Amino acid sequence: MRPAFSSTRSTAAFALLLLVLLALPAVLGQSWLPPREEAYSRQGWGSGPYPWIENQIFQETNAIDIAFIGSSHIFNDINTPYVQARLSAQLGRPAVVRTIAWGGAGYDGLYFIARDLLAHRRVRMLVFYDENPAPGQRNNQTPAWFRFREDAGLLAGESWREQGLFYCAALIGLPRNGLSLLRPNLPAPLVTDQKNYWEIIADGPNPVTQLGSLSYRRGFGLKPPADATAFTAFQPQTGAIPKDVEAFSPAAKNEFEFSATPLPAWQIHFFRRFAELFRQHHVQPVMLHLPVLAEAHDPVIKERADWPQLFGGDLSLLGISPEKLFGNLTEDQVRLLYGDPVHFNVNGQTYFTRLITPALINLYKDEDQPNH
Amino acid sequence: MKTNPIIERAIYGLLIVLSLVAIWLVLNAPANFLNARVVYQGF
Repeated sequence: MRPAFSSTRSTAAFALLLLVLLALPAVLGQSWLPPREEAYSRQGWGSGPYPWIENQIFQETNAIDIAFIGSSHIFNDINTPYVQARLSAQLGRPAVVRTIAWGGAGYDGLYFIARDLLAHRRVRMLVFYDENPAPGQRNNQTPAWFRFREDAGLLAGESWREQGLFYCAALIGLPRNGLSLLRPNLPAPLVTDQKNYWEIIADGPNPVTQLGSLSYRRGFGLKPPADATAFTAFQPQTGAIPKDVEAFSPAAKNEFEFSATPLPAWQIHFFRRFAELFRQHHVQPVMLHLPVLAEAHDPVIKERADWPQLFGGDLSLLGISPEKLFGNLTEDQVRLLYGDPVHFNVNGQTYFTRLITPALINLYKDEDQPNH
Repeated sequence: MKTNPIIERAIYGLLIVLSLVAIWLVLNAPANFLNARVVYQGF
């Protein structure tokens, strides 16, 4: 068998090349990274409406009254234009409500994207939900928004496996960062005559026209869109009213149930980092419970952790017990509200948003009205 | 030219260590890091 290397010198050259490539994320200085905006403008529509996210973080400059932020559940479950209309009516001025959402759950992604948002825009209230990825899954855009030279310090205290995972992400993101440094990525147009990815997937309007939320106009499927069924408009008639929405407090603790199963350490790590952002930027934190199909009959609101305690203080945790939300609806009627087992379609989105909005508005503190 | 056997072993040792580090980095990372360019991987 021929040897892999013809000489010791070529072996040394290859080892050196490997060493340099592996070390690049750590040794290249900050000046070798493109502007932070490129982490977003390098992405298209596929893994989330990133052209919209880039526009909202880096192009728009006005203050946001309420921003819904997070991955797919909040993307699908909240009708942002409705909340904006109701808040505007309440405040007597045009309110600014936005959804900044993407595909791929995780508190790491939530932390990095929220940090970029809050670094560029004033946000009064930020609403999020429990970012719980499937086992072994991490946000596939980590190589875009994690840059080792900027954020290596954030990994202190994490396990070797976690640190290695982020280092690998930085390595994978390196070539595109270099290219973005050579020439900027052209921002994708927000509205085009060709349908974008989400218009096709959801058979609905461009999320840009919905202030960042998705109007999913398909029927239930286990793995849509491949097995999506025909959409049927449905307005549930239940006894649920906005007053059924509960905010966690010692008095309402029986309405909530926190799991005793420990969270993965990396989730706690980034959740706490995320919590610090609220204090740094004086943002009002609200966490929403977004119900999935599997919990449709639960009498209490189940959360994976005692989030207010982990958050360290002033977090408002809002939810409605699924039993009250779905009332006497049959299994088939409940499915008319979902596009898949974990995301509402537009039926569920409309129904849920109308119930939850008064509680959100009630929590909102308008800085322009000191007596509010 | 004959290379000092100690240096030769050191070079091969370094190459083996670096290869193992590279393999560990890839195996430790979620599979979807490596195909993030594919349009959509599901939520």
